[in-house]
Amino acid sequence: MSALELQSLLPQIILALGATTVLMLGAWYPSRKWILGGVVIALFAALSAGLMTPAVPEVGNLYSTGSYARFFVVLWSLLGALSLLLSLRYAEIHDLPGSEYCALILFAICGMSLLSAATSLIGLFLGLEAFTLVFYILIAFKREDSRGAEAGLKYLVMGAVATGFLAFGISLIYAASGSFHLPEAFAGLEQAGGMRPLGLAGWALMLVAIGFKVSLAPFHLWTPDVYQGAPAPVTGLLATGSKGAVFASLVPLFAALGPLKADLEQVLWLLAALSLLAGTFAALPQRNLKRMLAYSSVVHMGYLMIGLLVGGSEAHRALLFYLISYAFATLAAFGVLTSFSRVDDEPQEYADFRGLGYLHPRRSSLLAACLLSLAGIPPLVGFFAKFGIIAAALKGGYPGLAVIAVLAALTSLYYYLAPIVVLFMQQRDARQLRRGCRHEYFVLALCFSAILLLGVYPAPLLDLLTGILP
Amino acid sequence: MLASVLTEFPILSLLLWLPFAGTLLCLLLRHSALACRWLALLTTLSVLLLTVWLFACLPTESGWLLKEDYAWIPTFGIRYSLALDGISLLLVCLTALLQVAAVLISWKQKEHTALFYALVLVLETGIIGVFLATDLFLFYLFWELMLIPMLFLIGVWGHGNRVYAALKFFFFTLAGSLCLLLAIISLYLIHGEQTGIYSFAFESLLQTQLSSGMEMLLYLGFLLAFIVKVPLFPFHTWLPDAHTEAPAAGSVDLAGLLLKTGIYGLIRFAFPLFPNAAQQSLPVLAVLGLIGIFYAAWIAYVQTDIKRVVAYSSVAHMGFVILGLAAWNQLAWEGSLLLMVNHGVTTGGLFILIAMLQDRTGSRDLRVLGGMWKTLPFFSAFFLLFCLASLGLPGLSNFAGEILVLLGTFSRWPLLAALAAAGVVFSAAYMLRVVQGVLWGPLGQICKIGDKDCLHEDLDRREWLLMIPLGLLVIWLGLYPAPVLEPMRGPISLLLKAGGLP
Amino acid sequence: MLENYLPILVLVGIAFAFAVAVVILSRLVGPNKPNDIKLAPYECGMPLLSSARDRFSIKFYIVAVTFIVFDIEVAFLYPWAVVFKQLGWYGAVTMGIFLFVLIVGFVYEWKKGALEWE
Repeated sequence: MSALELQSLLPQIILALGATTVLMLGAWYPSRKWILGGVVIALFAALSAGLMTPAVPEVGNLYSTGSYARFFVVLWSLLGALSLLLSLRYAEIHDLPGSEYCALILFAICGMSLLSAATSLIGLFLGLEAFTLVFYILIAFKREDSRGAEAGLKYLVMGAVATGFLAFGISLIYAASGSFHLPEAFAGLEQAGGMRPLGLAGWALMLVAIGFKVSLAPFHLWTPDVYQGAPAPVTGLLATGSKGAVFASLVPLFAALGPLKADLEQVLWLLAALSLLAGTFAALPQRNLKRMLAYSSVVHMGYLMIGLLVGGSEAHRALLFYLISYAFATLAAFGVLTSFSRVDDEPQEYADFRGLGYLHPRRSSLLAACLLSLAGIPPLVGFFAKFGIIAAALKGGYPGLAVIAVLAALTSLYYYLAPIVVLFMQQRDARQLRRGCRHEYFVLALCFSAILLLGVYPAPLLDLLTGILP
Repeated sequence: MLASVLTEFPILSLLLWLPFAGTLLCLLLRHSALACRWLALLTTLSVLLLTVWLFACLPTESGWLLKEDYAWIPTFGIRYSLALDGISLLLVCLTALLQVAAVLISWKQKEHTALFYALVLVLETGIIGVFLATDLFLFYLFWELMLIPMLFLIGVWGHGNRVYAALKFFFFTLAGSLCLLLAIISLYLIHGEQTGIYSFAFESLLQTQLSSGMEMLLYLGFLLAFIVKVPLFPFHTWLPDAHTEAPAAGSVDLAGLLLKTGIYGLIRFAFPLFPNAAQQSLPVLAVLGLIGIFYAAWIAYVQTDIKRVVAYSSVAHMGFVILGLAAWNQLAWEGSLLLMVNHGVTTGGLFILIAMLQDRTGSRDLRVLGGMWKTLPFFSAFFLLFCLASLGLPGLSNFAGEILVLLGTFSRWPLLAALAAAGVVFSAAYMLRVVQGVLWGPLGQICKIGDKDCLHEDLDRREWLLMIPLGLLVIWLGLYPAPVLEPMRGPISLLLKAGGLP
Repeated sequence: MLENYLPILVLVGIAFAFAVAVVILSRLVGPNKPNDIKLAPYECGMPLLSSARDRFSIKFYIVAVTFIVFDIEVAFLYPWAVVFKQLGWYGAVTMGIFLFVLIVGFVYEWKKGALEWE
């Protein structure tokens, strides 16, 4: 590995070394202020990725340094910085060790950035494992909390199984094609215009693993428990960054697959449709905000799968746009939950939110805006995202999926409106929740302006996405 | 001077975003209920003045009177394009007028005042946007923008069963509008494949060549969204609940304005875009409209809640409007649109009066009300006036529209027109029952003679201010509807010639 | 090419069949008279101290993890030693980075008191 390659991978190196430094310094000088240091490091990484011109287009045949990869480095770093800012007060209240928490989040961002940049199956595996390992710890970070422990264990066991599937799938593809590097690894799978059986088997195993990581039905069962048990800011990052990074890596993966995708089409169709339906029906009876968001995220993953299934630059652009809109809205929703949380409890049952809209109007309205954006109500960004996906589905010749998607959007209103009804249309009987602090308000305001501005004027982001798509 | 102001200054955008600016200010001033109240009044009044000025100044031509067009999201061929013709001008005027009324009637709103006025103002932006947008995507955005404020208005400030009513309203209209969305996207894609230019502009989409099956399918998508909103029998079941549970301002907006957006969508978009399919659907629409007239009258007659009676009367009136549209000739269409405006004024006025009544007696139940003529003479006079206007007494507003609709329909479907004429009698039956139950007879159970609660104040200054213009309007529109018909005539003939574009 | 693996498949089959056969045969043919002592878990002939489902101190776990870290380190060091000359400085620097990462983790562990038993 030459110095040029190191320079090209600088953002990720900044993240990893920064995390290590924070960890070490924290061992001598334990303080929660380290989280602010983590914010600075993440911003620095985002800056270096955004401004620097990489010397080589690809590092070690593993990671790309193209504009697509760097865009996601910036995105995940910003997302990480936001969730660190959100966690500052939370860590104080729940007495979490600051430097360890900060270092773990930075490691997770590093893993996500690597994953989104992967140009080889090995790179993909490394990136994926890098942040999955971190999440095993982060999910159970509140050690006294029994729900947290349950969530951590669940994620660990299921994640380990998924990792096994992924490794086995990659090795089968390697066996069939003799390469890890994209697109050679997939080009070698071709046989008489179709995919070799070994390649099909490999893809089947990989899809299981991917399905688990992004919680597509029928691999979604861990999602509600983990969302519920994990600390709210961690759930925010898990729901946005970890799922988003996997999808960001899937876009070039499927682009590399080329016409061989035809063999996977039926499976992808089924995964998308099942996720839309299963997520919708499971979300309907929920009375817990975190669990509802978990099931609804399954639905969102179904939408993203539609984008992947349709393929082509327009559908991929719609997918990425959806991803970004989903990320901001979800992060803000968990941000609100974080800022409401108190020493002994983290309010998440609907009953905790009764009539809160008039007691904490700003944060409640923001939560409502996030939910409405997720439901796809204009003029918030979620509407435009859904519009892009549905248009792509119709254009790509999947009217059936488009209809399912529209029905899912309609039904989703029911479970997204339920918390809003509780917030604004019921009488307050319970006590006040925690007052927010400045960092939290800053993050929430940022997310809100993103939701609103991108919804009203999405043109710049769309142009940007068109520019970075390979 | 005037012409240059009209062409160069983005007056339509001003009209559209002025209420929205009011919303933002309201949220900023949320700690002072008084400031919000005056701000809302000021905003709605200035919108009203602006529209009245436009109404007075603009020439009565058949084409677009004002246009604005900017690129917005070029990637998808979405443009920010607004345009105003005679029909939209009238409807915008109606919107501005009723919003002032809505603000005035909720003057004593105590709970969450700032949010309330903010929502009313957003709603105004949404409604005006629907009447002005000529880019289908933009139109859909405003179409959806009307939903959320209405949901909150009903859900937060409504009566009794408000959450149920709010959600029912929301889901009915949303289900319809998602069909509309699918149809719009399909049309957009088909047009894009044919011409290579992807655009949501109404002018471009009109040129799309459609197979008859596809045309019918897309038309049904549009139709469903619009007739749910109108609402046409059998899609009307959300309306009585929503009207009944909504606060006064919400009822005024719902009946006066939101129903009109459905009709407007039909004549502006659904009919011109799919002329063949529209022609095929006319008999069905006519029959459904007719059924609506009788069915609604029948149900209205047995209601005990006055608000429900008025709600069902809206369904009946909208049945008339649809019947007129289905007759597809100049006379009937003029009648339909006139009836639409008249219905906005009379029903709006009735809901306002009912709100006043409920403020004073705390009830809307026909069984316990009665004898108001003695205790509240001025109020009762206005109530009688609006009830008579609503039932179509000659010389008052609704009559002018109804008679035009009937005349127009008669030339196409004599039988349907004859039946519909009988429907007018039915409406007299249920409206007079309300008049009798509220105004005449002995004092109702709710206030026994000598009871202190019974000595209600008659109209105060604010209420006089509210009722006099509306009352005058009702009489004026009944006696001399020509100024209202004049600007519509040209656009209607264009719409009927198919195409619908000036 | 696949047919080259046939003998292995046959071997696997025979081994599996043999194992199954032995288990079944001993069940069928052999005498079966259990008592408490025979059923007890094997503990070097000593009487049982406590239930087998017991909690271990977390310290054992930390020691085990530390052991794995050094285990892996050694597993990398040996092959490096074998090709030390061919790799030259490149190998030395790369290995240095690897060792540095491990040492950082070790120092952190030490500082956190994981190596103190009490």
